[in-house]
Amino acid sequence: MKREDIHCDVLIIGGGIGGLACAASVKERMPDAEVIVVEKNFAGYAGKANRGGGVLQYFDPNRVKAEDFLKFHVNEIGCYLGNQELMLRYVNMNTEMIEKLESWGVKLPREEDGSFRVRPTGPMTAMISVDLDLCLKIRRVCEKAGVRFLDKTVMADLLTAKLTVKKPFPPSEEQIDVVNGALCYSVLDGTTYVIGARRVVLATGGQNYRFASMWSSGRGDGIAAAYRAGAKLRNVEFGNFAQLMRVRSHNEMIFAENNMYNGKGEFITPNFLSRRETDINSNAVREWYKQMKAGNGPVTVLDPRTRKGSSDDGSYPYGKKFRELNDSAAEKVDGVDGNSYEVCPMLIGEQSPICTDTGMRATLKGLYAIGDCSYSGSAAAGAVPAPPGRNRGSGILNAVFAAMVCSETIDNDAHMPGGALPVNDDKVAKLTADLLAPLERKEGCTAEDVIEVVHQAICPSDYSIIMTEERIAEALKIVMKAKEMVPAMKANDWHELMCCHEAEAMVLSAELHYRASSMRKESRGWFLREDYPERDDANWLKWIDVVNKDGEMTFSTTRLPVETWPVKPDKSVIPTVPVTEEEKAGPLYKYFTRTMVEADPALYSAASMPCDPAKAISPLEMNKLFDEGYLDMELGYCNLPDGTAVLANKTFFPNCTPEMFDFWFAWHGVEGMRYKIWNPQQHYNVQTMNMDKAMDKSLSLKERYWDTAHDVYEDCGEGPQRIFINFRNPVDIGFDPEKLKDFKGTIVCAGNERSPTIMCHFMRPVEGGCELRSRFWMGWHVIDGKPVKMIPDGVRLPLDGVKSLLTHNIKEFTNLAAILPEVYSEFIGEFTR
Amino acid sequence: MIRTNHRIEYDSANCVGCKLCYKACFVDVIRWDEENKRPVFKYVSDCEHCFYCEAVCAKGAIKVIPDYTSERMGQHFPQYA
Repeated sequence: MKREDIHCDVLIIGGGIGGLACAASVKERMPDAEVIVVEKNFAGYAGKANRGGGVLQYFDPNRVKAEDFLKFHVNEIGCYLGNQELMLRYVNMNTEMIEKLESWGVKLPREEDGSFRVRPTGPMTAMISVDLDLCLKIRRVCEKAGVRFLDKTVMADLLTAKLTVKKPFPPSEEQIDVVNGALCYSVLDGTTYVIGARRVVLATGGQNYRFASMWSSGRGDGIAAAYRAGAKLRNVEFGNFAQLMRVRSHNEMIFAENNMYNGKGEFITPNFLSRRETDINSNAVREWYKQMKAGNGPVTVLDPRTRKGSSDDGSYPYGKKFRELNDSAAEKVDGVDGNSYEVCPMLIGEQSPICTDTGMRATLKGLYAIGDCSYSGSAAAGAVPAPPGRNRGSGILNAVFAAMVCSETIDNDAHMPGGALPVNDDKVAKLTADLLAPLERKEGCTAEDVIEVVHQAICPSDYSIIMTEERIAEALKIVMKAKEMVPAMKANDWHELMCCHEAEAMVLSAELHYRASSMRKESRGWFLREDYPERDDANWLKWIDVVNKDGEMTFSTTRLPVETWPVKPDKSVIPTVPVTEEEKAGPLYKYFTRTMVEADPALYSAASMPCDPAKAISPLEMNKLFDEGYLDMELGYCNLPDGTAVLANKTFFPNCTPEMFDFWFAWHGVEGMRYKIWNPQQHYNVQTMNMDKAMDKSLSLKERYWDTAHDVYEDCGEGPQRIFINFRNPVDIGFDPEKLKDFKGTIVCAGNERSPTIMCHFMRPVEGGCELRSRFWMGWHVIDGKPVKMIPDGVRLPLDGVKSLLTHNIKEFTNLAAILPEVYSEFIGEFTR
Repeated sequence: MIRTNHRIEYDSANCVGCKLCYKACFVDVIRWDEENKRPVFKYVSDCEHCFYCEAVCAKGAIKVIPDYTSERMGQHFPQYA
């Protein structure tokens, strides 16, 4: 068999809208990067975007505030399970994304005055039509930019290699798995492509189980490959989308849930819907099931659509032709006379669980996942299956969003370790043998045989949508039957071999779905358990994660970092850090149990995107903070032109003095509970490493914390971490002693020749209190009293952690500002006398 | 959907060999005969009747004829099995 070895910088698997948008964006940012797109059909025609609704969700920035939409989405759709940071960024990037599509040649309808032709779809949302040739337009852009396409090429597995990394604290070495390419083959002639790559992006779509026709070609191949390689999956139980379809033509009926009647002619929509919602939810499927079970079928729907020429304004020729062919074929069997249709839900699936961070990095170094393969895994939208995810029009833009974010991350990660590791030939040989096994078998079952069994397990609504423990067990038993058939699958050609791999991925998805569904003992969003009908925030503000550990499907849960997000569920369920019985009995406990004062959500929104670096100051310019008025960037974060990073935040402290602020830093390191009351949701513990100094009442408040270090345990949004903070005299990190002489405020700062960050809290008195202006400069040491850039030239620090720290900073200082005057007056006496 | 009875009617006389139907198929139903510059409808039972091949054919040489009765609905109720 022919084998071709190829190397590239960025390998993108999947040539749908996500993969193409990513390839185009990567080339815009990194024109010299060698980019390959692998697609098992034809990039530009493949995927779901060019067969779907042909609409782009639009938010009018003059009408809709991003944080208002976020609040609506969190409460009504994502049910608190979504990553709010990602959702905010998605809304804020709306115009940028739409203009980007236009810049790639995608034609969007505009009014005579030049504005977009927009169709309102709700109080907050609107849509812009887009013709269904959009992917072809982006492919052309990619080709011009030099992207190489391997069409009719199937990705069989990801390639991985071991990399030894050094950890700075505590000093240690660790071996990690790095994705360094993929094994692919031509579905036409079986040519094997061993593609080594510095970065691999999965854009392979979700899992649609090859059931409801026409919806998507997503077969979960990327999900399965990521799982086999050891990447974490998240929210696997939210992949059970079903749509009401006409029984004869199996054509989907969007918004049919608003017009449902049972066999007795009773209007049954009010049984589960008190008002019109954004899109179908699982209650509509349950209502259909209840009626059928009670012998009240068939359920019919009055077609709410105007069937002919509904949105034909001439700007949509490609989609129009396509839609007409579909409609006329359906009408032949549905009948054209009446407008009432018998309906039945059909499973679509849309499992999309490859876990990523907000930069679309999967949990394996070198691997990224975008679009429908990581929609749930990135937690972009919460308790809903992949787009539309009860948010019609969001599918195309979610893919474009993830692609643009991912290209930014890849650019930022360009100098991080993990790229260009050599491909291990033994591994390739083993994977190739596994790959070809079905072709070698003389006897066995077909892929279709296996898929039939998967369908028996996953398609019935009373299995995958309206769940109970008992039915989950029944369905899982059927999945296990399919799993046993997998090693016996036989293929006669390359097409059938591809089907075998798809079947294997379907078995995996179905098993993951039921095992996680059995764990989640509640109902939330699209996820419906008849035996646990209520949402349970006390126990289930969690994501279910799963990882393949040496062949074992290993599940765990991750607590949602709701405390760092602007929209909160009922405050009583937000967990706080543990406190001891002794701490509970002490005088600080009253501050701990007080509801944390929340920052204005607009602050989080403003802090969700990187700022213009031209507006930021480097630590070499720290003395500009003494200038009257404000600097250009007082809230936000960005990379500086030299690749280091900075964040800025401004907090008003009412009725506060600079002395109180000095007191706080001198006082709180002495006892863990003092640190906990600052931020009861994220501050786990603190210990000053210079207790004698901290307790020395002969020193001034400043002297009691200058040149001391705090050993801190806190969660800045990425899990609890141990951090050392070495507080310094401001003169020792570069502040001008002359300016300090007349300064009426105080500066709490940290940094030394080992620490990678310079921290500065610059507080000045203003009317009614004080104003705190914080700066963190990442990538900087302090050597001989001056900031020195520590990262090598050409390296750019990733911004995810910087953004998380800013969110944390906004949160903790908002609360500190609220409690400080009271804490000061209660404890200053005993601390100083 | 698997094991369906969908059909694709093809008129070779009208075909100009532009290859678009082959490219447009997103589920590998249509292959291309390079020698004769004609499509080969090789895996028709995998067809998802998206009509893309028909839509892109400028000469009207392709007609997709779905057999909806060969598709299942996947429910436990026998009439919607």
